[in-house]
Amino acid sequence: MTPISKVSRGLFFLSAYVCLPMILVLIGVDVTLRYVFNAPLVWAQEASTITLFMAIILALPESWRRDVHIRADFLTTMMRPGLNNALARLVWLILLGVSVLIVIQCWSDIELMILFNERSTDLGLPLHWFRGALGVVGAVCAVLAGWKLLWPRPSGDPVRGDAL
Amino acid sequence: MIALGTGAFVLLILLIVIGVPIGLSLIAVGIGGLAIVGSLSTAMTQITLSFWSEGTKFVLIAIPFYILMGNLIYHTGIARNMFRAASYWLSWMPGGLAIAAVFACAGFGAVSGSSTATARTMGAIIIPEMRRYGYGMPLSTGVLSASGTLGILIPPSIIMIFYGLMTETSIGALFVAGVVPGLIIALIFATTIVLIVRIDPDQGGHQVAAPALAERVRALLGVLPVLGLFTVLLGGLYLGVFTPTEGSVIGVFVVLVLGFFQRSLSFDAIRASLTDAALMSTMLFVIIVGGTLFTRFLVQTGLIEAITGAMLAMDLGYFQFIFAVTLLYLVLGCVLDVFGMLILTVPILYPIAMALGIDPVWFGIYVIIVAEIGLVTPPLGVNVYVIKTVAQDVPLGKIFLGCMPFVVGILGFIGLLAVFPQIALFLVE
Amino acid sequence: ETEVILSYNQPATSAAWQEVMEPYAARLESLSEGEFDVARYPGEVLHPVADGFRAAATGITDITSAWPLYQASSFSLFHGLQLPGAMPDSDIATVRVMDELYATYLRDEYERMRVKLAFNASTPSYDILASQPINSLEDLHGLRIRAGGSTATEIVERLGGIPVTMAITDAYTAFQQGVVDGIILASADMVAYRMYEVGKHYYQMNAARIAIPHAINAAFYDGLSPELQAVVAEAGNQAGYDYARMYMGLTQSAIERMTEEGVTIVQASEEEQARIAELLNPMWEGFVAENGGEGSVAAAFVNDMRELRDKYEGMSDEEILALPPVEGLR
Ligand code: NA
Ligand code: NA
Repeated sequence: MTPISKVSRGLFFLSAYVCLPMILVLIGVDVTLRYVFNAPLVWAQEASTITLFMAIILALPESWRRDVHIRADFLTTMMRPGLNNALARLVWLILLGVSVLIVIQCWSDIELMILFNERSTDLGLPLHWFRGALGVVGAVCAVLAGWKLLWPRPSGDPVRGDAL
Repeated sequence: MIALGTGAFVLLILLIVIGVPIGLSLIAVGIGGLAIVGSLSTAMTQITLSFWSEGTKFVLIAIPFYILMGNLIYHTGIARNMFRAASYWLSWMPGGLAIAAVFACAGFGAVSGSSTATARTMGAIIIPEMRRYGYGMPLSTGVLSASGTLGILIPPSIIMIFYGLMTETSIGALFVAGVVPGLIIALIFATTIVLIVRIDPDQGGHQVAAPALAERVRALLGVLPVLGLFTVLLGGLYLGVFTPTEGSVIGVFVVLVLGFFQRSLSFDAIRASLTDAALMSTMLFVIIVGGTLFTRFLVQTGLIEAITGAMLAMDLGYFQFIFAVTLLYLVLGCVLDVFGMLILTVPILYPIAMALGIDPVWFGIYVIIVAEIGLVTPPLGVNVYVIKTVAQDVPLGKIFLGCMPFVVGILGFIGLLAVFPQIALFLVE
Repeated sequence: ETEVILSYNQPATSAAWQEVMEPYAARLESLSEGEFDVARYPGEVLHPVADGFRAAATGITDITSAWPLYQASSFSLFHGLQLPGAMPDSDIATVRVMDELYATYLRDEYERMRVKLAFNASTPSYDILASQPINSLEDLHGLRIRAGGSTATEIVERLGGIPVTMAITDAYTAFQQGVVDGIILASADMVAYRMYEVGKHYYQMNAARIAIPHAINAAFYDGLSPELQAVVAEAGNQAGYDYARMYMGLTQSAIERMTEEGVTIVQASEEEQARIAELLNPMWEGFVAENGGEGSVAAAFVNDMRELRDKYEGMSDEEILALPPVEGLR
C-alpha cells in the first residue's frame, strides 16, 4: 500500500467510525434530553452539522481511491482499453485541478475568516479550523490524483479504483 | 450569455455520457462557468463556500443515516423475513413482490421527507430480496428508483415545505393534497408492474409454492420487527418526539436495538454498514455541491429566463401551459436536481399559473411531480444513481430503461391531474 | 454602463423582493440614468443568506443582505441594536435610530467585513406563537420555543421558556407535531412561514427587533464615480424606509390574517410588559459588561441609543421622513 493510501484510509476511518457514530450519539442525546427531560442542548444541532461536514470531507480521498463515484457506464463498457485509460487519466486530471483550486482557496479563506473572526454560533468554534481540514483533504486528493496520473496501475479495468 | 449556458449544458451532458463521474462533471463545468461569468477568484470562493454551506445543512444528516438504516436492516435479515411472508401471501399475483415494494416505499414515505433517501433506503433492503425471488433487474431497479417519488408526495416532505415557503402556499394544504396523488401513483405503478410481467413473465420472478396455511400465518410473524420499526418512527414523528431529520438517526438506534436482541447484527455487519454509509454520503454530497455550483453558474447565464420568457411570449392556454411546463421540466431534469429546478423556474412560472386561474396548491403538487421525473431520467438521474449503488452489476442503461414504464405512468397521471384537478384538491377543500 | 449584481435571500414572489428590492434595483437604474445595469438574483440562487458578507466581500455579488445575526462573532456593538426595547415602536423611527447609531458607532465594525452599507433595515418586534394559550409569563414557563440567533435564544431563556435551535425549514413540521411548543419570530414572518397553520396562540410582547442591514461590495463601491456613489446613497436611503413600510403593512395584515385563521391574539398587559422588561433588562447590563463595562464605547453607545429612541419616539413618521438623510453612512 502506498503512503497516500494509508493517509486516505486513516481519514476515512475518522469519517465512518468516529464522526458518524458521534452524530448518532449527539442527536440521540439531544432528542432524549428534549423530550424526556425538557432540557435540549442548544448546541447539539450545530455540533452534529459540523460533524456531518467533517464526516463528508474526510471520506473524500477514500471515495476517489475506491472509485465509488457514480458515472454513466453507457459507453465505458464498450470502449477499447486505450480509450478507457485516457478517460481514467482525464478524470484524475480534473480531480487534480479541482483539488488544487480547493487547497489554494482554503488558504485564502482562512486568512479572511481569521480577519472576520468567524466562529460557530452556539459553540464559538473558530470556523477556519474546518476550512483548514478541507484544505488538508483537498491536498490529499490532489496528491492521490497526481500519483494516479503519474503511476497509473496497469490493471485490467483502469476505470474502477482499488478494491475494497 | 445564453449561448454560454447552452454550451455548458451540452458540455456537461457530454462529460457525463463519456463516463466522467457525475459529481466531478458538475463541479468542473460549474467552476469553469462561474469563472467565465465572474472571475476565477469568485468561482474558487464558491467552491469552498458551497462545500461548507451544503455540508453543514442539518437536513442532510438524513442522507447518511437513512443509508445506514437501510444497510443495517438488510444485515439483520428482518427484511428477508418480511419478504418471505409477502411471497407466501402474494404469490398468486403477477409481480406481487414488486407491488409490495411500491407500497413499502409509500409507507416509508410517511417517515422520510426526501425522495432520494426513500429510494436508497428501500433499495438497499428490497432489491437483494427481489433478486433472491428471481425478479428481473430492470423491473426491480426501475420500481425502486421511481417509487422514491412516493417519499415526497406522502407527508412529511422537504420539497413541499420549500415550495410552500417560496410561493406562500399553505404547507399543511400541500401535505394533505399530496396523499391522494401519492396513492394513485402507487396504484398506477402496481398496474404498470402487472402489465410488464404479463408482457415479459421473466421479469416477474419465480413462482413461490405457497405452504400450508399454518406456515403462512407463522411467516407473518416476520413482519413484526419491520412493523415495530415503522410504529416507532411514525409514532415518534406524530407524537412530536423528533423531526423527520432526527427520525433517520432514531431509526438507526431502533435497528441497532433490534439487531442486538435478535443477535442478528455482527460487528462486521455494523462496520460494513458504516463504511458504505460514509462512502455513499460523500458521493451524493459531491453531486449536491456540483449541482449547487452548476446552478449558481446557470442562473447567471439567463438561459432559464430566456426559455421561460419564450414560453410566456406564446400566450398559452391552460392545457398548453401544462404541456409546455412538463416539457420544460423534462429537459431541465436532464441536468438539474429538484431544488435547483424549482428555485429557478417557480418564481417565473407561478405568476403565469395564477393568471391562468390555477390553484396554488394544485400547481405545487404538479410541479413537484414533474420535477421528480428528472430524478429517473438520463443522464443525471439521482435516484437511478443511488439505486445503482445497491445493484452494482446492473448497467445504468438498464436501470434507466427499467424506469421508463414508470415515467410513462407518471406522465399519464399528470394528464389525469390536469383534467381532474380535484384529485389533488378535494381533500383540501 | 456598470453591471451591478444584486442578490437577495427571499424569492422573487416575496413582499420584500417586490416592495423593497425590485423598486431599489429600478431606482438604482433610473437615478443613474441607465448607467447602472442591475442583474437581479432573488431566492438565494447565488449564495445562501448566511454567506452574505463573504459573497459581498469577495465579489460574488455587489449588493446583498448581510446580517450580523448570521455572523455573530464578527460583531460586538451591532448586537446592541437587538437589545430588548432598544428601538422605538415605529418601524420608520427604528431605521432612523439605526442610521444615526451606524454613522457614529457601527460603521467600522461593518466595514471591517470589506463591505459598505447599502441601507439599514430591521425586522419588527419578535413575539411568540404557541400551540397552547399564553396569557401570562407563567404559561410560557417550560415551553419549548424554537429560537434563531443568540438574542432570541437568550430572551426565551430569560422568560422561562426552553430555547430549541432548528432550521426554519424543519420548524414547521416540528411545530405541527409538537417537537416544539412555539416559535419566537416577527408576526409578519410567522405568516410568511405559515406558522399560524400549526400554532393558534399568539402572544404579543414586543420583545426585540433583529437588525438586517444590507451590504455593498466595498471594492465595487470605491470604484464608482462620486455621482454614482450619490445614486447609491439616495437609492439606499429610500430602500431602508421602504423596508419599514413593507413590514408595517405585513404586520398589519399578519394580525388580520391570524385573526381570520382563528389564532387567538393576546397582548401582554401593562403589568406583564413590566415583568418582561424586568426579566430582560439584565441583557443591557450584560451587553455593556461584555464590551468593556462602564466608561467604554459600549456604555456610550447604549446611552445614545436610549436617547435616540426617546427622541424619535416623540416624532411622527412624517416628521422623521422629512429630515435630511443621516451623514457619514459610507
Ligand atoms: Na414523505
Ligand atoms: Na434526469
